[in-house]
Amino acid sequence: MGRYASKRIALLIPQLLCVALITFLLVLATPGNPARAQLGSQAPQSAVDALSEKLGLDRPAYEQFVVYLKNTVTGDFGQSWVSGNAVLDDLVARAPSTFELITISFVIALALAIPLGVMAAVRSTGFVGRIVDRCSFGYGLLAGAIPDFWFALILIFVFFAVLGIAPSPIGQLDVTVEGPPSITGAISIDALLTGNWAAFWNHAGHLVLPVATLVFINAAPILRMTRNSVLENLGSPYIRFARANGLPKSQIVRYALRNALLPIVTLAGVLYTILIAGAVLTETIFSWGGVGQYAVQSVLNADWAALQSVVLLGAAVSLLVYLALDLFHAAIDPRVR
Amino acid sequence: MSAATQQTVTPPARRMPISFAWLRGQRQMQLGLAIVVGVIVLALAAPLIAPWDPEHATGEVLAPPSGSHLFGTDVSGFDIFSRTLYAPRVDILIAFTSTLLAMAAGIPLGILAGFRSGKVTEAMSRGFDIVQAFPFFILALVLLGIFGPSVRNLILVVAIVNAPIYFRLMKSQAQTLKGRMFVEAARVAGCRDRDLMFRHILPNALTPALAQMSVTIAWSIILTAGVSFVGAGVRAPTPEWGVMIATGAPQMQTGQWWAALFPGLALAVAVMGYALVGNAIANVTDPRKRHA
Repeated sequence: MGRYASKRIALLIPQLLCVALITFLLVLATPGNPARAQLGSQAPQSAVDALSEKLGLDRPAYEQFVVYLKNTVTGDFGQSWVSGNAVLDDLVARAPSTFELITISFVIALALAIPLGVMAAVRSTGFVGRIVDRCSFGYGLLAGAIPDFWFALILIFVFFAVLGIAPSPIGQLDVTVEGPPSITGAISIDALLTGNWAAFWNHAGHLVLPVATLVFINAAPILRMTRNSVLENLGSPYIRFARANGLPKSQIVRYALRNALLPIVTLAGVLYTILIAGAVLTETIFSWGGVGQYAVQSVLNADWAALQSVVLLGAAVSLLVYLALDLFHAAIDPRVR
Repeated sequence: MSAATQQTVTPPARRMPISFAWLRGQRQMQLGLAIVVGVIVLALAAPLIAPWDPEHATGEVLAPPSGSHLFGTDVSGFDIFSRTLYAPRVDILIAFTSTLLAMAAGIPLGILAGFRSGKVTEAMSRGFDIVQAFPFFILALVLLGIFGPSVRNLILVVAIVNAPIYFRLMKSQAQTLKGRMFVEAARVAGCRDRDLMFRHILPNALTPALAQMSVTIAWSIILTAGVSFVGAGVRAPTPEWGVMIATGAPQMQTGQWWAALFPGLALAVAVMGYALVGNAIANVTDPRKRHA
């Protein structure tokens, strides 16, 4: 296990290097001079040249890449010309909100989909089973076909415009509510830490619709996978043996679930990386102010330094999730090692 | 492997008149194909059906659905019914061509990487792995930001995002198939590598890629609409479902639901059609999935 783990972790370094190379090349491919873009079209040529030299744009590409790597490793992600801040500061300010949104959705999606999937697998025969199967198939089809941004808008229409029970879908808090001081950056945690219950409940209200969107769209594959995986295990010889021994049903299901868990965990890991991308649109609709919305704004404003870092961050988090998955697999399945 | 792969393959008999017998009893396939064909026919016939020019402001702004505007009008006074009909011309075109491009790139490279193991193919695999490490939506956004939003670039970008799927599928197929007897036999008979790969392995490896095709088209439609929704893809006033939803989005807070509702419904139905077809193909070709 230890050897496998160290080898797998070591693989992360070339992977990250490749990701950095790609993000570097992406921005190198952008039309126009970044220095000119940063200074604006009115700036004198001498200033552009000076900034080009300062940014190292006059040097060959491989030297620029080395500089880029060095800067990235030391946390210098460049400057966003839209916000005027260092990109790192922008990201640090926004990332906690995004991870809060993604993680809550992730946990709720799993907490709903896995038990429902197990139930659907246990109740897979007879009349009830057929109905359960139809429902889970129909839900999967629907969740896969409905675009998340449209679903979010429907939720806003129903719960904000018509029923009036959801808070205004703008931001993470009502404008009248004073937020807690930033400790972790995630409002729910900060409000809990400071005992600011007004902010906590207000924020929770703002979380409901975006989380509901992400959960509805993304829980379906987990539900389906859990059902199929448990069903497959329930039909396997070792379960038939357990059944023949007269073990109680709950215990049998537990046995089946344990073995069914491997593909479910894999899919759950993939789901987390999908949520990173899914958050982009959801954040945009709810003006969440996280990294996803930042990404969209950077694209629309051609803010390359910001964009480069968002992509790098997204890919790096995905790679870390895949690493965790592989290690988890190795830990519970000796064949992987 | 499973018992299914051990079956002998008999070449399908060629029947000249096109038979629809294979559709019998395939309810998912029937419904899916009906939607897929229906959407394409409606989009092609849009000039005949649509009561209004899709890019002509009618002067009635945000009119609710009525006899003259079946789906109402949006903030610019465009007729939503007409625009919804025209939209798949862009959406399906992008989804189809980008999927074909992704297959054209991913399939041969995947076969090559599965068939030959060497430094080049290993590097290729790692390269595609890295592309998959990028969150696809953000990658698509960035590529569009760099190349600029146009239909051609959208096709390219969606293809780049999808190509790794086909690469992986074909690589694993080729890896299993290259050890099979018929490939050995062809090799012993003096077949060149190129022919082994593309005349013997490729036809036998293609099934999962074809099943995947429908799925890729489905979510390419969603991806296209998504990037267009945030303003990085197709631009207004071109009728496209994502753009139309974006146009109607602000009114969802004030209660004028029709501008965003109808294009979203149309999109969901179209995507569902492709998903059903993909599911049906997977069921037919993979006996293990028959009950999935």
